Amino acid sequence: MLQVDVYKRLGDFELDVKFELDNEILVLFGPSGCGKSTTLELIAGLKEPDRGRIFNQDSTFFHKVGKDIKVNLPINRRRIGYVFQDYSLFPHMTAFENIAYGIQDSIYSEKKIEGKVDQLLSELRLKGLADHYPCELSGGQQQRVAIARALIVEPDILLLDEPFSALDTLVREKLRQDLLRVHAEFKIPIIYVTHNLTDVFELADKVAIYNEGKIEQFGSKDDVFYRPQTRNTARFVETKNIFDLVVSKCSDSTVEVKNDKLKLTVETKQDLNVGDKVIATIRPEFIDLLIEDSNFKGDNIYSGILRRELCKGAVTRLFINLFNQKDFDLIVDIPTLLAEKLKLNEEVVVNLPKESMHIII
Amino acid sequence: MSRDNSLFEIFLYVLATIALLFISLPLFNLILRSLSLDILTNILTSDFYNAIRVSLIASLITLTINILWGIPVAYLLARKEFPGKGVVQALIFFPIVIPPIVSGILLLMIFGPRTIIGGVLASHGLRFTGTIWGTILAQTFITAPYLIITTKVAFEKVDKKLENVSLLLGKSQGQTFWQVTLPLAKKGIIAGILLTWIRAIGEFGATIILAYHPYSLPIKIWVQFTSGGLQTALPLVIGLILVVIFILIILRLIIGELRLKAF
Repeated sequence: MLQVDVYKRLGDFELDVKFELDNEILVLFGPSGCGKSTTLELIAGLKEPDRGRIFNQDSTFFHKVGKDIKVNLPINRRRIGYVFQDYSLFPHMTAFENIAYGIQDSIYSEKKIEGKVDQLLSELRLKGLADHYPCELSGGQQQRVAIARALIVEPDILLLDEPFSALDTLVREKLRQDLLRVHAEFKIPIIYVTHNLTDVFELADKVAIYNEGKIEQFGSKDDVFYRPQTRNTARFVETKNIFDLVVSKCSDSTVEVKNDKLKLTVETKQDLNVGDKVIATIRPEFIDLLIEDSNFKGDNIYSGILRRELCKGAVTRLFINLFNQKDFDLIVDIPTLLAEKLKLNEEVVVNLPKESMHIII
Repeated sequence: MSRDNSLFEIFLYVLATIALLFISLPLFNLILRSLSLDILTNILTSDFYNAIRVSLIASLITLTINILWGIPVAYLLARKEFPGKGVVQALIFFPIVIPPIVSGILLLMIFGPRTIIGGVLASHGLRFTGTIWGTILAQTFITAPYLIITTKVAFEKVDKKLENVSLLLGKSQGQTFWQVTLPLAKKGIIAGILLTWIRAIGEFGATIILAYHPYSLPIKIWVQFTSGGLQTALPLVIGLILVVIFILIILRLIIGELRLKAF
């Protein structure tokens, strides 16, 4: 288990984070400059915390209490695989030499080294590129060499700092699959920094939502996406529909929340009282568009004017005006096939299912 | 391209041409004058041979000393932060910013036979006046900044992140230096070494104060010029320039080869 509890001040910026991680993939997600990469650098020893403790399995990487540094393990003894956004391959070495670098001058014979490199070359789809210099490889190939180079030393932790952000969507997709395969094989804690939501969806076992040097929320992917605990988390994971309301009625499994324009019924087990100020959220993909000309049933049915459509491929995003005359106040994602039947500036009816809504206290 | 731009470019080209003519004129003039066979056959005399021998031996020893202590200084300046770093960097420029003849006098005040250090060393057989060690001392002092500055730039150009990658892969600082930093800085270091070598071979001002004898090539040129005039000095001048051109060609070849191989 990796345990991190560190504080670091960099000018006006303060990073203060604490988390634990088993052999899982933790995705650090948040806006630029919120301390995600710095966290990796502190774990790796590239930067030194002002205080705190970093501990992995049987090994203490760092421990400082007040001004007293009890442990500060050198970088080269932390057994960390680190993959940078810009690959950082050694330009004077071939792909083979780059990958083999970490186990050269080690106990392994030349034949054994060759075997280990060959295995990683084939696992990461790099066969035939062993003799190429980095400048002769594409971005995706360079990043796979960088991952292979990090893995050959059999690290205890793998840290990836926005590793795929410079690559196109198709390459990213394949590399994510590569990474999941690597994780299944190596079974080590992996920390992955990104500000791409698809990375979070596809890779994360755990997610830490970062904001201004602090962890806004730490939990499973489902918790973070579907049960955000703060308005910022809801915003960062693109919940989109966020309403400030007051509890007006409570029953066993539902509450009624309202403001001067909106009245919603929400299924919840949270302990709420009449008069509590809350935030109600619902993701755009959970809102139903009611098209059939029939008697609509449901607690949270509203009609509004469709102001704008944004086709995102298979899904189309609708911007619906419920109350405002100028702007939109509801965002709904529906299959593009359904959207083709809609016309701008005409009325649409939507249902906000009470079981898909979430309350932030 | 706008009219303004083209006028601006013409202005740049005119100024650049004037500057290049000014710089290259002495060399072209020398080539024209040396077209007479007499001068060329006069280059390889015993005077030239003796002087170039002193210059080469002294400059190679100078180079070895400067590499041994210059590269560590350059690496530390490029990679480490320490109190007084700014002062150290300014000090390194000292031999460049003062006239070489003044450097010679300053060295004489420390290593001359009547000084404490010079006296002690002389009593152990190491004299810095009138010996090749004086030539070496002068060359080393004058050329040290060239090697340190060029090598420091070469180290700074190596991405620090690559050194971090090496450490993260479990390598020691020493292994990282030999396997990552040095190979990546190699091109710049070799360029620095060769430029230092050229500067050492041409060193005159400080050398003449410390070691008039044995004649190094620049001093021999000066001696010939003051005693026999331009015609007697000219073969030696051409010889010195040929040596420098030879080193420059080696420099181009090495850098060119490195670029082809790895970059």
